[in-house]
Amino acid sequence: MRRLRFLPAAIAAALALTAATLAGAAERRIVTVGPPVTELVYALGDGGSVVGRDTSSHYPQPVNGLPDVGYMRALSAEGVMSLAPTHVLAIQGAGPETTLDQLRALGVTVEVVPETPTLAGLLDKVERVARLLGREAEGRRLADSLHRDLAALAAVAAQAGTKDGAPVILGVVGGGPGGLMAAGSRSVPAALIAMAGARNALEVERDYVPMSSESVLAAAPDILLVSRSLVDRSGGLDPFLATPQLALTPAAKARRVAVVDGALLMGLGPRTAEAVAELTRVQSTSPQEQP
Amino acid sequence: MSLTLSMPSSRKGDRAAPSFRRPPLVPVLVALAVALALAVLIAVATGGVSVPLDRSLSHLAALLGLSGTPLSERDWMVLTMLRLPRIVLAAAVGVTLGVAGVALQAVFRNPLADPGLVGMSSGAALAGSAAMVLGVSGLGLARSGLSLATVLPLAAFLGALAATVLILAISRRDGRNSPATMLLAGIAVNAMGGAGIGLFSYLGDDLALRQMTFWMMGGFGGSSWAQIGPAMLLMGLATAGLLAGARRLDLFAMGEREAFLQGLDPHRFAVRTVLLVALGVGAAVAVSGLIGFVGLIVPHVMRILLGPVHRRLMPATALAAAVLLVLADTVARTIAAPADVPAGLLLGAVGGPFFLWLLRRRVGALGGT
Repeated sequence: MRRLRFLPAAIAAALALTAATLAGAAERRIVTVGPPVTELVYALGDGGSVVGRDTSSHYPQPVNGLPDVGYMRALSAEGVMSLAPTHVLAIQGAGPETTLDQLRALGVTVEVVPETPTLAGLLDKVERVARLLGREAEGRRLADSLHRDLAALAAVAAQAGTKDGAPVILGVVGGGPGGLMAAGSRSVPAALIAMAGARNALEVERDYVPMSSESVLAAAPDILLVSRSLVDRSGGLDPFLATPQLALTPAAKARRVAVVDGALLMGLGPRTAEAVAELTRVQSTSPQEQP
Repeated sequence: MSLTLSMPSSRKGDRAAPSFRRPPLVPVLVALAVALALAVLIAVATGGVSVPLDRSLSHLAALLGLSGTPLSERDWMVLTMLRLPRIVLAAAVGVTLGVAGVALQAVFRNPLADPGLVGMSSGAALAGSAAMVLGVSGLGLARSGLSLATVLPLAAFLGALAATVLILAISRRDGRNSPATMLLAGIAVNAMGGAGIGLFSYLGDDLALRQMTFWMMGGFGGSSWAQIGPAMLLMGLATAGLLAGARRLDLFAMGEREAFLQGLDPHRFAVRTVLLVALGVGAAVAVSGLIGFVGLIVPHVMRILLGPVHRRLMPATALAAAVLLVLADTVARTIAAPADVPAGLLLGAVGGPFFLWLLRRRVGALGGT
């Protein structure tokens, strides 16, 4: 009965694949944890064998019809087992560790995929998931196309940057009355900023760091990189840019903001080039051209 | 904060003229034991993976050499490796927190005393956060071969103990500990613990932060026999020690002078009780995070039902708290299945308003319990 819900994905997969691999996929029951992993499994054509996903996985559309095993760091062993999975593919940080161990003890193949915020890390992730699914050929194709797209975007960014040096971009992953959560050097937004040939405004060797209003001003970002959900929670782009921490930055004054899906901001996956493309698009628009 | 509610047991004549309308203890205990058995059966029979009760019983019969059909290996493992440790842990934490609540309320002579209120839980939580944020290597244990799972219970117990020792030291004057000062010191220690937890959540990276947050919400997910074993032993020791002191708690409740005349050293007894509570609460927090209100509400309800005599109150509270937590955990792991809701959150959401209602009811019927 449940299988009918991802019929569209199954049809798409059937179009792309030979009957033999599809038969292999049908025996697999995968629970994916973390948007990058979920998206990769679908991008590699194995979406038909996904039977469950975590709360944060919303893309591609068919996953929304699947059972939700909860927040990635608070997985319940019995909850996951209730979906009778053969494989659990999870992004680094998923857990708790005891739950993963229990699932392994019950005979489930549990694979934790590292999240390394670099292009090499992304390509390695693609290759790793492809190998786990036995879809090496699709993995190579996806890695090649990601490589090609990102190289093209880097060329575009390099052209935009020659005018007046590389722009400074501040990655904002959280905000509120308490202050602003900004992306440090070891974060995915930092990797996106690097891929777009720009400079991260917060060169701190950490992932996400609370940042004071004054340090935000001192960093003087030319462009903001922010998740759509954060903008929506602020009530739209205007109220978001009007928050005291941001209002005086060059980026807010010129309205140079790259708004991307939160999943793209928090993990590298098959759609990473989309996020980088949005960054390069904002870079290539001069401040005056912004509405 | 008003701490002036009178402790029912301090009322004169309570022991001299036993209340006649109280139900006898044995039927209440039997009823609670039956309720616990039912709660455990319900908990065993419900879960994400469907394992019908009759088939589990049939499997048990087969194991015992009687006629019956065994379960599939996977179902049996789900039952024994995932579900049972949770149920056992929930019951054990219930017993520990309930009995600890009764004991603390007696020692502080205040029906609102609770491990959470006097700083023990936040001491345990602070030490636990430190362990999670700094990690095994950050605590200077890099070459010890210990894992976070081993260090966490130890840290939580030491945190609860440190908070307790601090409270005892602050409130000590002329060789005695004033219960009122102990309670106030506890509140201050609580605030300091909260600040420390804030500091660690500031220092922590995303992973440690999320881990901390979920741990502090409280719950029994991720319980395995190996993980809960040491904590169960500590909780058992603490609970046995506290139950053994039930009669002396009654003496203590009569007032220090009277207790002394009856041959009890009230100061030593109070310190012993508080240390036992710290042991039990530290172990419970380590494996299940912060589970609030149990140590407050269950003793309160049982006191209304059974009166203030600790030999009656403690065993009844132990059983009732176990029932409550076993049921709460059953709801927690099924309400959003296949996801798991922290049981501590559920209890807070239900327990807080219920406790306020109880308070209002008491205020309404001032003079009665």
